[in-house]
Amino acid sequence: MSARGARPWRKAWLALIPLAVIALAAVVLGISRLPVAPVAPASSLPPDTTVGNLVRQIEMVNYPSAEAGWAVVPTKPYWRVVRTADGGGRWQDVTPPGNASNGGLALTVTGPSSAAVVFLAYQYIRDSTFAFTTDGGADWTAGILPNAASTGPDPIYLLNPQQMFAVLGNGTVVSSSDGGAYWTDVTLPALETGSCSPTSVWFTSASSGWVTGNCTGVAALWHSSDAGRSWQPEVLSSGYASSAQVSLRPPQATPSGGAFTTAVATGGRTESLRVFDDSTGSWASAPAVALPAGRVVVSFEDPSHGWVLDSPLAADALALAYYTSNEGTNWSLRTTPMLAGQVTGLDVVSPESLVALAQVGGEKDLWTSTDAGVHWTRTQMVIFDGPQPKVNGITG
Amino acid sequence: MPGMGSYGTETIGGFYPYLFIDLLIIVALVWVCWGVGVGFRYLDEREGHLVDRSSAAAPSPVPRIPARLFLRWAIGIIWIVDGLLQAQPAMPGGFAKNVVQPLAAGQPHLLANLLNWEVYFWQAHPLDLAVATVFIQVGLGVAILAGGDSAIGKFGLWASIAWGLFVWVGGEALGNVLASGATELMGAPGAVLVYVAAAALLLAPRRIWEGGRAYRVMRIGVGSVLLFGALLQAIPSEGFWTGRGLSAMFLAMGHVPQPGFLSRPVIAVAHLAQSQPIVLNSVFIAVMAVIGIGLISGRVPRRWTIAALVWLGIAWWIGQDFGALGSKTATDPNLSPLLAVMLICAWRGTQAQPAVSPVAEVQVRSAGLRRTVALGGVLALGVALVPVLLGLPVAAAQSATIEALNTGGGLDPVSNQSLPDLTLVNQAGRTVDLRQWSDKAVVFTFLDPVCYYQCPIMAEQLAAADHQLGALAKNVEFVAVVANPIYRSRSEVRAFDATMQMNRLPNWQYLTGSLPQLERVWSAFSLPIEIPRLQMVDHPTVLYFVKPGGNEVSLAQDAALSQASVITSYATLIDEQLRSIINQ
Repeated sequence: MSARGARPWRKAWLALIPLAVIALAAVVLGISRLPVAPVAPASSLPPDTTVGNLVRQIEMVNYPSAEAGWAVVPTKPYWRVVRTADGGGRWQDVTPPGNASNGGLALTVTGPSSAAVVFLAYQYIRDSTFAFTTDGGADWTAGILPNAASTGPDPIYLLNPQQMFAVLGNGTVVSSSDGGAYWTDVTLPALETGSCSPTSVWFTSASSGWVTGNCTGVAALWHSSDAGRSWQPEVLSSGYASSAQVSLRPPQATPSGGAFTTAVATGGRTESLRVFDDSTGSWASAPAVALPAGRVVVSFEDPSHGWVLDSPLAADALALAYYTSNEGTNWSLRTTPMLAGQVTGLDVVSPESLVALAQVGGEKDLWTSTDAGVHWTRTQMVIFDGPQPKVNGITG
Repeated sequence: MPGMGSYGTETIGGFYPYLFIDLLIIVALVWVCWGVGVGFRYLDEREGHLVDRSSAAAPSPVPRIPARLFLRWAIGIIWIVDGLLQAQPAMPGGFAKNVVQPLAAGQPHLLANLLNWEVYFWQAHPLDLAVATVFIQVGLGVAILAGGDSAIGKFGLWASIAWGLFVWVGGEALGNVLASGATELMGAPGAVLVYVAAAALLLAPRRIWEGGRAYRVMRIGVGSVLLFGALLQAIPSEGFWTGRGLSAMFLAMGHVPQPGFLSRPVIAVAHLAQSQPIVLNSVFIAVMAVIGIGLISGRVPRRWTIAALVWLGIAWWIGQDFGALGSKTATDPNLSPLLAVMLICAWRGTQAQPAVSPVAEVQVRSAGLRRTVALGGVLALGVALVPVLLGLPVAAAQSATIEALNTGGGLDPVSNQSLPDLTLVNQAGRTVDLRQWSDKAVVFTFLDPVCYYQCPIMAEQLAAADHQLGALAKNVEFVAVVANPIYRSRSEVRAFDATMQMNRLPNWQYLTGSLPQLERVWSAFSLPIEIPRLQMVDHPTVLYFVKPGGNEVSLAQDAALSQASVITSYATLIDEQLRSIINQ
């Protein structure tokens, strides 16, 4: 071991100064030679107007009839609303022009030609704009919500072009009776047990409306039987563990004039499904059915007939389709594994016709079945441009 | 699910090659320094200048204080973790937009302008600054860890204080305490303040550690933070007494991408907050106040330390969401872990463990390696700072606005034109004539009420200019005309005013009208307005300055504003121009 002597070698460090300067100059030179990173704000990016190409990113699909279908396609940098009138052979871009957001779209489909789209923004706590159409997307009427909209399914519902309801991101339900010019808060009475955070609003008839969302320890919703003028809480079941998270889908009408909904409860590593039906005047359901762990998508055509698509958590796994014809009391495996990937969406078009979205890697493809889920086929979605839709009577 | 956006996932190519190049440079510099040192030592030995250490009077080793060592290691490691978090792929493209820009909302104008400027600077040099931040923070950690009590270690601690304060202002907006909605649950008054306090304690004389005062200071500090948190939680204007206000933070945390088992309790608390805000907020206040007072009192410190650690754990989960590590632009583990480190350090220090004397031989043998590693940390700081220092003037030169401010120009004169004689309706529903403010100076512009991009920034700058004018503001009218043929209703105008808080300005006019009325105004100003197929309505950003009497005197049409994502001190430009008009 040695230490400093008469000529301390520490002084030699002074000689490093020019070396350091040279090294730093090399750094500067190196950095200056690096390619300049392209940094462009979102609004200056050229819009993706590519049409006629195969789309492998489908966020949501809904077929209100066998011929008419709507979908949300998150093409970069802006999301599109597309519609088909021939059962999926040709999809047309019907996005209302002059609208965009950096948080995607939420689409509420109420009929073959009727839909409402909400433009969501997450970067700023800003109001969400919306637009609705009753002619298949040729003409849109646009408006603005009083705050950012819920990111849940069906955040807005138009009872008619003047009377509309929406659920905001903070769980507040608002209504407008003048086409969206002014909005007022809707009072939802508190639940006696458990708690629910509204995400969706839906009407099964001109007078019967429902507010659903995510509940804790209870399956509950709010119901209006006077076209949304007043709302009452309805507890479908309180037989859940206090920590169970229960997600209710917006109710659908039954042929008998009632409504039914499905509740998926999550607690720990298992999920359970119950189908609730109020055809008898009060909510009733078959016992809960345990769902397999993994990604589960549920869709019911009516209270009795429904499908569950289950894809295990493993990447690129094969999905299984289960079918029930007795409110979920018994389930049968409907198909051998045919759907590749994680199932993200399911829509029952008719008893024989099913549409599903499945994600493999970064792509979400459309799969269809025309034999009640026995066989599945990957279906190509090709977007075509069309006449530019009008918004508030204005063409871009 | 429709509407689920991504959280700043855009990446910028070249980030990791750039990091790698800088790493190579730092390693090369360390190697050169080490080699030169060995070379000089060889020359000294050959010339007989060295003496045998065993014959020299070796300094007696200083006893180590375990708690102090623990704090040094904790802070050093956390700085390195912070540095590695800055190396996430989304950081160059997402830090300014997702971390800094949201902080600017609701801040005092001075701080908001500073943050806006920072965002602009980052957007102009995302790679340089992202790489610099990685190496600065990793360098700080390495220098603190390997430098020990040497000059390099002390340099690391001083640099830690300086950088910490810089981050506290520029990265945490003073812990967000000046904006509404600040809460200890989410990290106010700022995690980085704890870094600063820890570095200051490590730089403090050893006697305050040996005498135990350091541990008392730590407990009082943590207790004070909790008491401050209770105070913030109780202030009505912070909004935590309402279900909407209290649940907002939990909802925000619950929606950060993360495994479901982590988010579910957060969402559950959000639901509870919505239904029982007064009860839940009272519990929060009581818990923080009681634990804070307990820690400050110094009585039964072990009990209060355990209680505080439990609370910090809860807050870290439900309020800070484990530092939002799933957000892809997380910058640090947030406040709770830092406060926990201080409490654990104080606990260890009061366990009456004897100071450990290092084995002299091991210290000597590892000294060279430690010195080299510490040197690497300091060199990382230096290498990282170079592009930052070089970038400052470059950024300034690139900003037309800053250039305009520096030169006092940037405005194009408009010769002897006047506002058109047209009428519109203001936000209150009153019909107004564009010429009716002829006794005032007028700032005239066009804003889109549903634009989420540049128009909100311009509105903020107009409000800031109004504030800067002070008493002179009564001589000025700020007038904006709707620049959107689709969204032009009075309710949409009022919604914009409410969101941007423009309705607080008594001299603010946001005008709209029927489409033909608006088109006449747009035509009078030759304002092209386009409705793109897939994006929001496009319109140029212009500002007209009209002197009293109705004649336009100048037009600001800032290309930088149209292209850049944010703008810096535009308010100052407006303020200066108005003062010159009024004083003419």
